[in-house]
Amino acid sequence: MDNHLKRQEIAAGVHFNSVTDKRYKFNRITVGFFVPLDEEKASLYALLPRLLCRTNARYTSAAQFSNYLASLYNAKCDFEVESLGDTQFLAVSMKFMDDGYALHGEKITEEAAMAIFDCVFRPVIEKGENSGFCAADVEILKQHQIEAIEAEINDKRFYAANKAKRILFENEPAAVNPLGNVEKTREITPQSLFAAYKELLKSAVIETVSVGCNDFRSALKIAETEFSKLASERKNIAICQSAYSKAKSKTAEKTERLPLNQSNMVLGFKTALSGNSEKAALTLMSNLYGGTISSKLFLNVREKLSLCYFCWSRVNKYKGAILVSCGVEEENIEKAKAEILLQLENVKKGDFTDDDLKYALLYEQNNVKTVNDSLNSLTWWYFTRIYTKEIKSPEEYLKDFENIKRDDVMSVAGSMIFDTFYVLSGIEENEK
Amino acid sequence: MEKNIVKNKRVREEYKIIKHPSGLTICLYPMKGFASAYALFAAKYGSVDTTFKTNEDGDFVTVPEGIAHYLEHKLFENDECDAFQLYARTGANANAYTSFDKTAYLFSCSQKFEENLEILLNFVQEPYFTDESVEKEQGIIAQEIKMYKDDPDWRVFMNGLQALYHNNPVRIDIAGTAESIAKIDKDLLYRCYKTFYNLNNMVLSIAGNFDVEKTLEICDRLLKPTADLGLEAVFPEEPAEVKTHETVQKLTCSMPLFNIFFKFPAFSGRENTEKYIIYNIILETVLGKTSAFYEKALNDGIINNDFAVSALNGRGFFALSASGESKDPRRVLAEIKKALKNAKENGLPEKEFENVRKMTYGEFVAVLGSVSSTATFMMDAYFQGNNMFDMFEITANLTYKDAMKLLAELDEENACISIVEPMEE
Repeated sequence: MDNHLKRQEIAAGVHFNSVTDKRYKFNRITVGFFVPLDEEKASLYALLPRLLCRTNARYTSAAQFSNYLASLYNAKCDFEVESLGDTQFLAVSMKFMDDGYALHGEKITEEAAMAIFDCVFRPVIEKGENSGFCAADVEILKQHQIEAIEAEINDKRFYAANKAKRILFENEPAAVNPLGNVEKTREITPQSLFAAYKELLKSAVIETVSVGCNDFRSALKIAETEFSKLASERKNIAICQSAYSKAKSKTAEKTERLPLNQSNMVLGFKTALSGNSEKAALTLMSNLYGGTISSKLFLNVREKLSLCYFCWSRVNKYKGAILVSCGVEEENIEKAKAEILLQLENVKKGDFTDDDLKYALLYEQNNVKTVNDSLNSLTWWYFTRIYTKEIKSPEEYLKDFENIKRDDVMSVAGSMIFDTFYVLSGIEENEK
Repeated sequence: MEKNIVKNKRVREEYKIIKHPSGLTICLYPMKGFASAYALFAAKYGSVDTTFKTNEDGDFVTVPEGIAHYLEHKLFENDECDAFQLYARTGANANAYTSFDKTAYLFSCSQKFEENLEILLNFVQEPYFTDESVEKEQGIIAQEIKMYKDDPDWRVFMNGLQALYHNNPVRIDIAGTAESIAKIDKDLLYRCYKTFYNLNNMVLSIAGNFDVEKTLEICDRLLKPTADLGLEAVFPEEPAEVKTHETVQKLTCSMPLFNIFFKFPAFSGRENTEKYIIYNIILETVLGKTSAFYEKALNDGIINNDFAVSALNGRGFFALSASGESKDPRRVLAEIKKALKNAKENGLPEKEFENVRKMTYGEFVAVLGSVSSTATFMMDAYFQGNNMFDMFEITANLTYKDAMKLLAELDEENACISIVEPMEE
């Protein structure tokens, strides 16, 4: 089944997008903001969706709002902060059950749609000389953001991948943590945050994506009314895009030591892509290299050499990069690295069968077609398509892969430059 | 073949539970409009099943820790190739996992469903182990064990279970230890396979986009009938009190993590499901986001938004859990005990209770919007001796009085706390 996105501009740089599909029993309305990733502003902007989804002028305490959402059968008001290449993406979302499933005939849809726009447009404000957001709320959420930034180390794979990414994209916006940093978060005041909020509404690219069984007519009406009030202010809309970066002339290498049982290594590769067919070739190349359980990395580094439990490659399509992650024993780092590089050489040389290529495509088709079955996946799908200005349904996207040949895959593999080698290693016995 | 259609008027949904002549129970839930299908072929066999016998054995046998998980890794291979290569030909997403009380093999696909199902049924029914292949897997599993040793969330959880239980095998790490897996050989794997991968001890659960008739035709063709061997898995005696009230470990992490457990005896069947749902509602009402406790603890800065509560249930164990990050975990425990005691003495706040009941109902309806969750809930319900719509009915029919009755059974002092603290610089 093809999901056709309905898209319309409702104010300057503000679009309302919706997909209605009766397979769903829930609906999700997400208001997304795109701004350039910037070390100076990232912490401020990151704190905003965390604050906006917590309360609003109708439900001024978090407990009141949580109780209200619970009474709407677990309506969930949530936030997201992500980086899409050189762009910071911020979102406030509301996911709610369709009215038809309520036990006592409650009208959930109307209430939930109003609530999310209340959160975005009518936050709790302390008025007076220094008007700004509620000071107590801001202090609590600043602490949560600091703890979230510091918690990166708790997941060693995530930590290693982020550290590698920061070296890979050094001096580029993509190296900035979308959550910002601890120092800048500490400096935030209720007033500076309120100013950032007004700036965000004025200058961010704003996209509302609504997916579910509802027709979203009432949500559209509310969105039109609310965003029309901003019309006169939205004169300078941010330009949000990502650029491919040049690979370093020599592979950057860094080893960090912490008290750990297992070493985590990340290899970062860069290329520059032109056009959709090269992007599709890169995806297939990553799938057959390290993206699946039948990939070269899985079958050789894990299954044949028994060096690791996980070894995979992931594409950063916005920056034309591939990151390979692997958890190994310290003494096997060089052996695993050599095998990972050897397998890339093999793909470059075309040491793969037509079947391997076919399987990489089948895997992609399978995953992409599954996107339609999940509200969250389909929402994210359209946000990323909108960002790259290639607004296609999952089915339309798959057409990009129709004419990809082995030479295309070899060519994109051949253009990969080994840019960054990062190792998170355990502290050796004599160092303890 | 015995077919039973399970219907629920409240959500206007139904699915089939079929007792196949081979001994296998099959749960089928076609979902209109969905592009993908999700299938689980699962055995009632997890890390807790370390001591067992069948009517073919003379006496109970005790096997090394982590063997169910080891078996899961090895079943992906047969004498010609491995299941990964077969799934590559269909593009399916395939995986497997071992929990405390079950092992599940699964795939998700949006094309070639029948081919994928044949792969699944074939490889799980055709074990092939050699000394060499068993030894080769040790390196991979050893790395998986090490990965979890560095995971503070997993460590704080497992340390908590080790503080909670004296003897219950749920305190054993699912993957075992480097020492225990070194004792595993092909003969032990075959013995465990023969004992637990009996179709009478298994379920096939499928949801989403698939054809029921074609699925049953494949099952008729590929399922190999097995006689019920009268499997008995035993759990050692477990004292009612927690083993120790506190356990602390230092690890590389950003701030202290905690996992608090309240101990209960194990339940089974519908009682297990009922208590799981009702205690979850009680915990959410007293300690969850809608509660006065949560708001105060958040404002006082002793918890952050990672704080979560839930009931933990399975075959042979039941506990209540509260987990999160805190600079003062012991104060969190004290405040939680105070909030629970207060609710027992003064009653649950009625409005919040009703809201949480609706919230829980909404969570269950959300399950039906996902093929993977639907298949997983059908499997879990089957292993617990229920059907998946029971949870809708238990929630819809729950009264305040029922909840207060169960709250009275909670002993807030029979608790333990596990803390993982950051290493000192």
